[in-house]
Amino acid sequence: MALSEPPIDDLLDAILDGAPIDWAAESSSGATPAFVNQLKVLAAVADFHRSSPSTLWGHLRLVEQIGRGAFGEVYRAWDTRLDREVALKLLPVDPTSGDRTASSIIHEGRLLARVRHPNVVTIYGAEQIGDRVGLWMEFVRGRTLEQLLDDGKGLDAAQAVAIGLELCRAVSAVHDAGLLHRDIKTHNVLRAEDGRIVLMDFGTGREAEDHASADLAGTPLYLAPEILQGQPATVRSDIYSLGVLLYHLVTGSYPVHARDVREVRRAHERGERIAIRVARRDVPAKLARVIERAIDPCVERRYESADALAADLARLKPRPRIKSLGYAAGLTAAGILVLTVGWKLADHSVSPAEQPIVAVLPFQNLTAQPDTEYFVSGLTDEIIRNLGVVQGLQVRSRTSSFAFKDKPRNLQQVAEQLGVNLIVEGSAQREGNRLRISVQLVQVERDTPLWSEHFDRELKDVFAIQDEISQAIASKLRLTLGRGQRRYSTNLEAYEPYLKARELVNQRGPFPAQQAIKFFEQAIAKDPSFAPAYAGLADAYAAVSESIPGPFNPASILPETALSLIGSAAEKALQLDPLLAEAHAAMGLFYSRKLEWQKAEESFQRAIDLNPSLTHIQVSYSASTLIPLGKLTEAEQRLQKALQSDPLSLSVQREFAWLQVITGRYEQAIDGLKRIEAIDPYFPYLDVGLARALTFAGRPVEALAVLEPRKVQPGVQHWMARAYVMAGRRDEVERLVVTHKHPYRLAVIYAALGDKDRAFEALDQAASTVPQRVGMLLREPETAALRDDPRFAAIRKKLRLP
Amino acid sequence: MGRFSPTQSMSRNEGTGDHSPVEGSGSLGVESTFHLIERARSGDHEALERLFARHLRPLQRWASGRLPKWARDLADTDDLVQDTLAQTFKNIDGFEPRRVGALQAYLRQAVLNRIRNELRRKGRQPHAIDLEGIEVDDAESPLEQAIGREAVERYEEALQRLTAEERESIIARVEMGYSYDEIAEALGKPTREAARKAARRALAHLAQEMERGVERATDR
Repeated sequence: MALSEPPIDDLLDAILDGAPIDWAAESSSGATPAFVNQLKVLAAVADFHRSSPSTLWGHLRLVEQIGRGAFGEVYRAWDTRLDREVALKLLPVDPTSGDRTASSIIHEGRLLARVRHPNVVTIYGAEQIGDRVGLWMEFVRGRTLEQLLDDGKGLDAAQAVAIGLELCRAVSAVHDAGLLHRDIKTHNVLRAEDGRIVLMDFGTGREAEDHASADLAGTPLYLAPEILQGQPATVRSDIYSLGVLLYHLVTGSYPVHARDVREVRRAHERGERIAIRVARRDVPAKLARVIERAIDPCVERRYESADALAADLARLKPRPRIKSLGYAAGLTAAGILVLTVGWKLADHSVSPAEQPIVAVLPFQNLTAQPDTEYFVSGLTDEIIRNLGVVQGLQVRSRTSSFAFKDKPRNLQQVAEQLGVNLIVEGSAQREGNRLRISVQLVQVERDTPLWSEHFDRELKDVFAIQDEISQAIASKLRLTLGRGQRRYSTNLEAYEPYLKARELVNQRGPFPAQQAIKFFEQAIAKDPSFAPAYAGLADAYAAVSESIPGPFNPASILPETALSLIGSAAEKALQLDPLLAEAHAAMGLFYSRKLEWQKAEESFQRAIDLNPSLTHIQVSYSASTLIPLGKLTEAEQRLQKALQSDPLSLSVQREFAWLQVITGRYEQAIDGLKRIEAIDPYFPYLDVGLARALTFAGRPVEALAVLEPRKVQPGVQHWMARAYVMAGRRDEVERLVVTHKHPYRLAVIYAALGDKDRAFEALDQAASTVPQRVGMLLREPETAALRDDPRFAAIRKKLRLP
Repeated sequence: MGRFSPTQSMSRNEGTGDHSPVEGSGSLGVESTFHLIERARSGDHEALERLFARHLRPLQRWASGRLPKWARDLADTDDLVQDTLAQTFKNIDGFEPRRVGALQAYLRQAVLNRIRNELRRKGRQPHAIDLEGIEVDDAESPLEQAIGREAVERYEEALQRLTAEERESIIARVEMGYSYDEIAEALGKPTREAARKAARRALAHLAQEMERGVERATDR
């Protein structure tokens, strides 16, 4: 049979593409009936897979259906290009019907995609593929406000105000983009697991006009009276819906009572409305007035914009108490956000003189080329650093500030989350040799810029500009630059690879650190006198040599090689800039690796003196020096401080949880680690940490459940040993003894088996080969049973620990 | 339709003709499966996790079409696939990333083998018969229900007689619904048209092999 015959090709294509096939016509083509029969089977196989939810829609893989509405279906899906979870709304369209619906959905999707706001679900894309149009967007885990109300816990006035404020920002962003929402209701607003309020639309609503008998799932009750009279939707009809939502949040009921659209319309015509304080007597009078104005049946008397409504709501809300953001309040992202809705309503607020606490938000990159991102990130980073040395000024750290990267933000909200009263924000644009920077310092509470400036200079002036910015801010706040103040003076050829490398070191882990080394070396090649690059190099060497070398970890380097590399880089940095905090911290790391503990402490303390705002120094001090020395109280104090100044940093949170493990507070540690897991399940070393905490909390089965799926990864199985023993699976541990060779891992395994002789033998070897790991291990619960043995003291002595 | 709708003022936007793809900054940082395999082979945990995440869901959904309902109740398909994937990735350093499509086919085969073992194991148990002694009609997998057990067997057998590349292209297009661009990348073809041609040839060859399967069956 000639397979290349065009009719056969067409048929094959139709099967492969899922196009309709006229089998009667095909059987009369040149192919044999037996062959066509098999093709029929193949077409059925293809159809089966296409119709099952496992099929791809474009580059999105449908994972599960999460909703079904009048217009289509909503799926949780996996974006195979960007490797992220998305929500996908799929709507059937008739491909032959001139495409109007499809193109209007796509057009709308594109407009919607322009709305970038943390309180509005982010639309990623819109496309028609085959007979379905899809709109895919950010997948937000959480509960709708309606579900929250259904939970029966109810919301108090303060919570309603806080939610209302966030929603006003959302609606304002939608309106600013030239769009209307038209279906604002509690069903369409989510409280995300991280506490964020997100306005969305999952297509559960119906056009009221077309469904006179529609059941009242919410929508008609939210519609402004003029809409029910057939007038077009406007900004103010959205405001009305927002007002009804607030009414509903506060009272649990609606301003009109009706069973269908007709009754809603009639109630409006007769003016049968229930005043909010009739619905619930204890609604504060001022809040009642605001909501009543939002749902005023007279369009002209209603708020003219979401911003105007927000302004009145904001007046009901006192300044957040920054102190409440301390560690004691439960420093998870979720915890912080819960606080933002916990205010009491007050009539007005007075601003007391407070200590200035500033967050520098990531500058917006206005440059066209995306590969300039590191430059702009680096710029922000440097301003954070520079402000860190201003005396009397607290600066929120990079990781926390960078949580707001690429998210249009409301300063009030950001300030609340970070516990700051000042915000620096700006934008940068790099065109060839020109650098344009706009920057402003905003006093959050009054929402007034204290200082703003535009720079349009040559690229090489970047260091001078960074300096001027921090100088200006310091003088504006009547503060002085501290001792650590010094500017970077280098050339751009060195500065660019330096910034790239810094980005990589911030990612942590041996692989990015290995790349970072290359960039730091490039920077040094271009400017051999650039101190921060040497300090960074020392950090990067420390990072790559932290994990155990082996066939699975080619990035790692031998401890003795690492030691001399860290030492020479740190010394060089210090020599070039004796006032550089990072250089002292690098020296601290170097001394701790050399087991010269007192010198390590001195170096770290000097670093913290010079720049107290660099939380990664606190973390590194604690892990490398304080914990091995057993100075657990001091470690805890430092980590608490780091948590205060960097509340959203997962690495600080992880370190804190680890300290809790070391001090036997397993359940607290588990809670902390699980909170991190909820935010970033792939955060390095999280799984092992959680499993170890679970093991020692007496929950070995759960611990094994965490690690079982990951045990194919190197460096995991020895941490399972203890849990295996506890779960009565000793034989598994006997097997581990055979497959493991590294003394560090064997020490952990033998300790789990209670074989003290072998454990000490391995520990002794490990103390010679990987001393950087053993100091910590001696404090960890895995070695607790060995501590009474005289040989334990010998190991400590070998590590020169007291 | 969508509850968001353009306002009147929007008409000024319409003229600007925003036809650019809506996806913004994203495509940076996306790593090819090929690169991920390379990284995973060198012991990079994160790459392994991402490979895992990328393949787990599709295979779980796919497997749910291959497992009879009663078997799915006994052994959670999702767990079964996850377990198989973990076992398979354990040997990732022994896997030559010849082509991306090869990994996809390899994983699918691993899951299929596992399902067969599971069925063999479970088949000996009396669960296939319900309490009244009537054979439960959902003993077939959804695919078997759709096209018949014999046809599924014929299809699977014929698939094994194809060349590796042919098999990969069938799995990618017919079962996983990949676009031709993705198949071109997976199979190392220069263009989507080349990928299409390869898939066509594979499909025709598959039908021929299935035809032979019918002949053999009738010979017996």
